[in-house]
Amino acid sequence: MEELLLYLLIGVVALSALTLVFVRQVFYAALALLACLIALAGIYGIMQAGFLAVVQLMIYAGGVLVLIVVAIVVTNREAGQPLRVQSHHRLIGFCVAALLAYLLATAYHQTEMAHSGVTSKELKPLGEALFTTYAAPFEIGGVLLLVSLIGAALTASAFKKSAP
Amino acid sequence: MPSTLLFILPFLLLYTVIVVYAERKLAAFIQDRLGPMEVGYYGILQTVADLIKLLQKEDLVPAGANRLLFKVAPLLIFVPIFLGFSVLPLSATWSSSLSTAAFFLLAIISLDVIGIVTAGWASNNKYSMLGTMRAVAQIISYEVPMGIAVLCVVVVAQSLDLQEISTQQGIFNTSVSPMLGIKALPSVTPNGGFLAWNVFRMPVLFIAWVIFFIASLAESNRAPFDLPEAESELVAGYQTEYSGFRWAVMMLAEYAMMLLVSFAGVILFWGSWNTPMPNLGSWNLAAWTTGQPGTIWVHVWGLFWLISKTLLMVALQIWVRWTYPRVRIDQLTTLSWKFLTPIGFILLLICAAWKLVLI
Repeated sequence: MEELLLYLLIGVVALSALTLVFVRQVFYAALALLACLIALAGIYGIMQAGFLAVVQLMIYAGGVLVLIVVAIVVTNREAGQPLRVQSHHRLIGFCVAALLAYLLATAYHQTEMAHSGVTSKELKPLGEALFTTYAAPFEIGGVLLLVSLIGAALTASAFKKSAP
Repeated sequence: MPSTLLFILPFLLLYTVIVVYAERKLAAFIQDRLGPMEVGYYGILQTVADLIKLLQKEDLVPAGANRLLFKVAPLLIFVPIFLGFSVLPLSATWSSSLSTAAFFLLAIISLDVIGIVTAGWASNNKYSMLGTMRAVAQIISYEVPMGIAVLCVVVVAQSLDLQEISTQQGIFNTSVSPMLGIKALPSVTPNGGFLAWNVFRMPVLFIAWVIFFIASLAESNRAPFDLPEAESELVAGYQTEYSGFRWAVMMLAEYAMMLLVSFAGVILFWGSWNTPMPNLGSWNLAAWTTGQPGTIWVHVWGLFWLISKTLLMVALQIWVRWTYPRVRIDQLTTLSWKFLTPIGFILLLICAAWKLVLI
């Protein structure tokens, strides 16, 4: 049952990712991305990484995607026509994609995927590890976010001043 | 989770029918009117009649709208809210086993804005677009204070599991829980009752609940924060073009959101499924009104207390709606970013320090 659900979700991820690439209208692409991200969260959930699944929902589906959708909605009907995308540089794009696929495939084959046995019940070890063993990367990530936040506020206020 | 479909969905439909009637009656009483009086005794079947009328209406799609998205949008609004119900603990032994339930609830609540944007954008209507932009600005701002208020509870309870948070607020508690959060006073666990609820065992959390309540009003687009559907300026905001069953689904989603945030508020702050009555001497009121684990009574009492407290919260939301005037959009964002968010951070600091030093 769980395995069946897993394959179903993998199918949804693949299908929505393909839709995202090939669909012309940007709003449909954003919704395909939403389906892709939610299905990924489902895969994390089945793989016993409940916390990661909820983080995926919160940050990507609830945060990043909402911003993308709002940006599309705001910029969309400027000329009375819905925004459409076209594809350029197909050859280079294909080469880069093939290279990336090769890289991922070799990385996947060279690492041993050990079953950690950590279930979603155990949030405490995760939190402790974040604040002891991995404190430096965690704090650097926080500082990066803070810098981008200040940058965004600065950009927005400069924009306001230059407006008549 | 099957219990969500088998129990919550029928409950939700029944609740909506009753609460729409209750809202009209309450509004009428607040304005010194009688409200619906014609259909059934004391107007009690008014909502049923309205519902039958709604289901008969034509399912219109405007010519300029995006057909597919226009039709899908009401479901995109309702499904995330309905998913939120799946993680709620309903009684001492009846709950989901999700250990990150509080976090999941916050995440899933933020997803319904995508449905609102889709509805407004697909309608291709200026009023809908304006309502959508307001809805997005509002929901994104109010997620921050709401998340911080929930975080205060999580810091005190040391758990993201809603069932664990609920258990700590009653006589089944296994950890230390001194009265009013002061170590010198005796533990409230043997007595239970309302003193074991989060707002009483950690009085700072009452202010956190006020923030949570204000944010939850904004989150469910209720007055005084009903700017996305402000009738006097935007017709009906993002739902302007909808009719019939699709509009009914949107209304159902709004009332479901009210219920969901009320459930969340009761579970996090007001004792969840625990009884308000304490054990006093030989009067074991708390034990009598909780039931023995393993019997049916633990479900009956748990559901009774949880649902009564939740409906009281819904009544409070309705009361607020008919008491306060609608705020302006800049007042709304100012309230969130300049007042509620800083106060929330201060409360979080107090809760964390209190937890470290005093308990």
